[in-house]
Amino acid sequence: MPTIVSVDDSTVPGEGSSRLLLLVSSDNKHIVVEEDIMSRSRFISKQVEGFEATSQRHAILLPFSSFVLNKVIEYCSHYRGYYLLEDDPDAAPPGRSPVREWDQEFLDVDRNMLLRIIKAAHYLEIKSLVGSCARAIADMIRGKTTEEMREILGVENDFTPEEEHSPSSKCTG
Amino acid sequence: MDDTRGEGRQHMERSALYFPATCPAIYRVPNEILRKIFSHITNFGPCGLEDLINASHVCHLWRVLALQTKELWTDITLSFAGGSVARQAQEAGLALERSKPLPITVHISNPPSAPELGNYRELVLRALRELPRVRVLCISSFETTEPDEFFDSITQILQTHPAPLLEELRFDHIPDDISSGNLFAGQVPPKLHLIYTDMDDILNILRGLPSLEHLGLTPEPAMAEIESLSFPAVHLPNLRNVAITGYCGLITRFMRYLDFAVDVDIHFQLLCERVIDFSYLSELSWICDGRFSKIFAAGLYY
Repeated sequence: MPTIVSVDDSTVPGEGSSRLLLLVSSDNKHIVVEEDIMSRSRFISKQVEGFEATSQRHAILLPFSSFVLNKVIEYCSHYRGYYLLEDDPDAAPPGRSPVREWDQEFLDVDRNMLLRIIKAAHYLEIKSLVGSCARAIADMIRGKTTEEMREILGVENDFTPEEEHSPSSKCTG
Repeated sequence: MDDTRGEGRQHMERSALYFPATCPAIYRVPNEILRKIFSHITNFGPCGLEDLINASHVCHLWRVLALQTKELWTDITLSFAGGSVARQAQEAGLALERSKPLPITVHISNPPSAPELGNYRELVLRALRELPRVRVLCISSFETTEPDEFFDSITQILQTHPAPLLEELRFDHIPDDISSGNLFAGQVPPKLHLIYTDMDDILNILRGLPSLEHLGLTPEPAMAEIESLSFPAVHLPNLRNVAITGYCGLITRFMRYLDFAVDVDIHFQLLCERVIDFSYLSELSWICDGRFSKIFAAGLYY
């Protein structure tokens, strides 16, 4: 799916010291954001590199709603200028670490929103946000029974009664 | 910019019902993300396996992903501080199977009391027989009252099974006769990091690894010193690289017992008490003098 469209000059503010990007959400909201803020997203960075090869101004179409996009922008704004180990492609993967305190508050949203944020973060290649969301979801289901996990995340049990009670297919582990 | 974000926030606030709930969001999450969530479930100790097994029962997709992702099953903890021994043994057994053939981490600690010790022992020995693919081995919180034959079996496996992938070995109590022969069938892993509580224990282990080339050491805070004044030196003629972090005095006393060849890369991370004992520094430099190709020492003050 193409993610870049040409836009006319009046849509995107001009060439100041900090370049501005136009992000277009799936609900057709136009959100202007400083390139610097979104540089944590490898996807956006790659798109911007592509822009430099042409003289056209561009908007980036994103397959998620403005509701989710604004949350992601809020995250990127908070960590603007910070080095996060998880986002460094050359760094060793971080081991066990709890969700950062600010992230914990930021991700204190309902289940569906959390899942939409992680999906958006995955699409935008923001590894630190994917990691924080994954830890937050893991925290929701840790220590829970299978039935409770299904209930918490809204997953349907698609095992047949035979499968559920067959030692070879499930219950023995 | 702020206006835009303000608008966005207002929109978020008023559109709590914005998303249609026809399909739960979890079904639109890519498998790669589900795997990441599973990996965070398993990241927190012995209960991680139970949680992972519970997750693998949620639905067909989760089961397939959990079973296909062998990396999820590679951290195996055999610790029975509480709960059902039989169940935990079953979980650990599943992890041993499901992680094959990937390298694994094995933590062995807190054996159960006598009635359940048999099952536990079988499981420990089964895990240790996987030594050829063990990357990290940690044996801790063992009481010295465990039956001798248990320790004999552990020692025998450590002496007869090669551990080519072993990178880290941690003991806080080791069987007394572990130094009676070479460890790991004489096939020393190329690089080994040891975490130690007793200096004589660690020297005894090193005595069983005469061809070791790369040695890393980290002391436990309560490390005990060698009691015997006539403790024999440990010969490591193939040693090429040594990296130790610890108090200056402890490192110095440890290095007194190492007999290594010249041309070794030495890296000390010295933890110094407020009052530095320069006699240790001086002795350390005397021990290393003329036997290194590169030496680096850095200090941290407390």
